Amino acid sequence: MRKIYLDVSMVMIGTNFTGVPRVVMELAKRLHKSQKFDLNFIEYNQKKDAFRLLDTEEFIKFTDTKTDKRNSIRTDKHIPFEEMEEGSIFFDCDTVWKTRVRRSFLYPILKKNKVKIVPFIHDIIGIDYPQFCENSDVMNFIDFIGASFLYADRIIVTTNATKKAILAQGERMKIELPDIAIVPLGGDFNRKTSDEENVKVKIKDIAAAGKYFLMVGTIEPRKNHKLLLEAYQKYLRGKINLVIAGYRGQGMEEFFEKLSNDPDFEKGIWHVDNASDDDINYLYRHAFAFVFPSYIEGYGLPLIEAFIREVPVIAAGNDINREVAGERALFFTQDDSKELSDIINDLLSDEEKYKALRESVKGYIPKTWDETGDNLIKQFEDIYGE
Amino acid sequence: MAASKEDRMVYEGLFEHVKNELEKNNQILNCDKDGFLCQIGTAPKKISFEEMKDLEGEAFLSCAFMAFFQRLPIKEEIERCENLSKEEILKYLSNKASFSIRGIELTDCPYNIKPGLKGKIVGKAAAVASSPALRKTAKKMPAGIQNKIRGTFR
Repeated sequence: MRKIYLDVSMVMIGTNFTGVPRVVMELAKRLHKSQKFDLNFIEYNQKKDAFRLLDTEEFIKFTDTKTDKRNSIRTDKHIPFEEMEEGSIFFDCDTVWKTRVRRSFLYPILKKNKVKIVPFIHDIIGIDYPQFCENSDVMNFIDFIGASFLYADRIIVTTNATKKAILAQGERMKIELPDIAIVPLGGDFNRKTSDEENVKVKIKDIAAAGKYFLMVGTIEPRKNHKLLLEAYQKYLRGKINLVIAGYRGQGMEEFFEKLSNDPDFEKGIWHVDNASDDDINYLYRHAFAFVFPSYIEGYGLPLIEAFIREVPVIAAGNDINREVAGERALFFTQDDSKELSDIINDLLSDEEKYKALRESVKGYIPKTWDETGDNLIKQFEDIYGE
Repeated sequence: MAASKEDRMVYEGLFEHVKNELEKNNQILNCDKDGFLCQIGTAPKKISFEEMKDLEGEAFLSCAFMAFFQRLPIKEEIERCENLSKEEILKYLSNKASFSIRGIELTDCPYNIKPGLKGKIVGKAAAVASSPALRKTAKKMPAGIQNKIRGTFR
């Protein structure tokens, strides 16, 4: 059986399992079920300067428990970089550009040893939108993307928009790129049944205070929360409330100052930090609409999360949002708070229109993670011409 | 392991693109291109001084920080390294906690560069403090305190 190596170094030290780590865990579970490949989880061990082999079953358990106690996952077996098995697949889907083993160092060694290299490129935001990233992160990301362009046997992406962006880079630099396959992500996260008893009183109070539009996600410049605040302050005050749920990211000091100085703060505008899954679920389910003004996304999972809960979606009309949301959402011109407000006002005053938008998201069935896993396996088989 | 000329062209192409995008958005890329390209292909632990010995000034600093710590120097570090010789810069960097935490071994180096005592002590503390449970607690602290903690282990 052919081996797949999956470097989960970042997941193993993680404390927050949304975004890429969540994708890694979902993919790990599906690849683990495959009878066609032997899945090996590895992490870099600095002391040995080699990859440490992880206990597969223990790691799979960890994808559910997400426990802080992770030593039982670690084994004493190590694999030097030069000894990864010939003919195996090295599949990178974690945030590997942040690990100590640069791919510009590793991939040439793997290539020399005839290991197939398959990076999963979630997006190229760090290349096309570096203004939203830290300089150091961008430098590390260039390392990963450059190595992927040069050494991958196949690149996996999740959307056509990302594929197009990568091809544009290849064209610009006049280089031949590896094959690029699109494998969309699942949206059927295995979430326990929502328990209203666990929802915080504050969350229930916010939802009961009146109709609100909601944004969920880390509060960072790329997500463009400032547009929501502007829409509220200029056009929507007194007509609808605004709820922003998410961790406070970097570079948002000015935004938070404006937010907390608004006379409606905690009366008509709320920032919900440290929300539990039940809290978030409750906020989604009671929202008048989910509004997504983000400049750029890897996949835009919050859109899918909103659809699953049958919440109407209003999103910035960029390529990625249009690709993921399709016909179900209403779109506004990026950065146009007036247009966004007009759409919200329209929905508030026109019950029929609002009903129609609600209907359009009813019965939404997301792609499943099982399908994503099957698609990935097909890609791996295809690499071997099987 | 230095990248080949052909490989460097790809990394350079991406670097230039990113630099232009930042400039379009009135931002600056605080990294010297030659310094960045020089550290491409650097191993996680055993880092050759030979590869970076011909770089000067900002290029040397960008290269050394990226090669050792996978990050660019912050303002205070740039100021601290102004007018220092390469040997002095390397000694300064070897006294950082990250140098010790990462177990960096500088090879082909004419200077005696070993992890400094301060770095070693903080490095040991970091091994304890890096448990997921403690990091979760730290993340709940005010931003100012979090920055102080980050600075200690930098």
